[in-house]
Amino acid sequence: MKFHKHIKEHLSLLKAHDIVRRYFIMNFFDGSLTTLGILSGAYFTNLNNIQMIIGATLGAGIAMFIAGLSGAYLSESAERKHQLRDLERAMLKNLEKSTIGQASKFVPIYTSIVDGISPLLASFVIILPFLFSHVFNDIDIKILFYISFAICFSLIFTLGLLLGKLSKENIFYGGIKALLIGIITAVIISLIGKI
Amino acid sequence: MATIKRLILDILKPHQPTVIKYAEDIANLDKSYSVTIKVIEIDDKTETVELVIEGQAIDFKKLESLIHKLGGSIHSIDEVSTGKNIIKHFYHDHKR
Repeated sequence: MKFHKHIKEHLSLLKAHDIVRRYFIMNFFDGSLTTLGILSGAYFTNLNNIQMIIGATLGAGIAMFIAGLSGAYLSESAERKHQLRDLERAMLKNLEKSTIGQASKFVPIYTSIVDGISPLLASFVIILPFLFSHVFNDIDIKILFYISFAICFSLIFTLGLLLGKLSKENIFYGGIKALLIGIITAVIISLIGKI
Repeated sequence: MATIKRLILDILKPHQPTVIKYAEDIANLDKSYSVTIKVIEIDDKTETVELVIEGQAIDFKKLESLIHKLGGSIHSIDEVSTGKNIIKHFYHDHKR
């Protein structure tokens, strides 16, 4: 509880709530679409090897995790350092040990974790039916694909609803918009599968 | 030994933390503290505030280190009251 309060204080000091939320939504969407891409590619090319599908999806998820973690940390910490130096110049004093100085170190770490974990989480959730495929011995791989697609489109739709709620527009319009992006992606990949 | 009963400080601080956070954290230093902060001037990245604090025995060192921790700088000590009672004359003159 105390740690949660500490996070909230640091985020509000640098007004970073919006950035963290944006990173989460953007990268969760990225992770969902990338996983959809891998699954669609596998489905439309009739790939039947469950281990290969899991390996490719989690591999992409881990790559996105590291890319998000390092990319967000490097850019956010550079930006926060720049802002702190500007403030130090205005204050004519070193602010490294002040609460704002500590927040400037904490916020890039927190944002990069959110940025890295969100696509990995999306990949992991979507691929769950394949991860638990051994539980159902004789299950048709096509059913696993359908369940994963259903999870993926539900996640994309929910993300759209969330964006609609944030922008205070019609939330269903937001959901449908996001869903359309997912469907277009799957359709394009299905065309590649036919080549 | 005479203790500080009332202080008026001129402080330069960044916009964040807000004056509310400053007032709360300073008041939390001691149960006897009463705090009022008034914003005097706002610039692009900083603001100048006047801090009025009253208490049974104000610990200036603790107060100073808290203000530094919150990122502020004490520009000047504009008024100090010590001893048995706060002298009313000054109290009323400076009460804004």
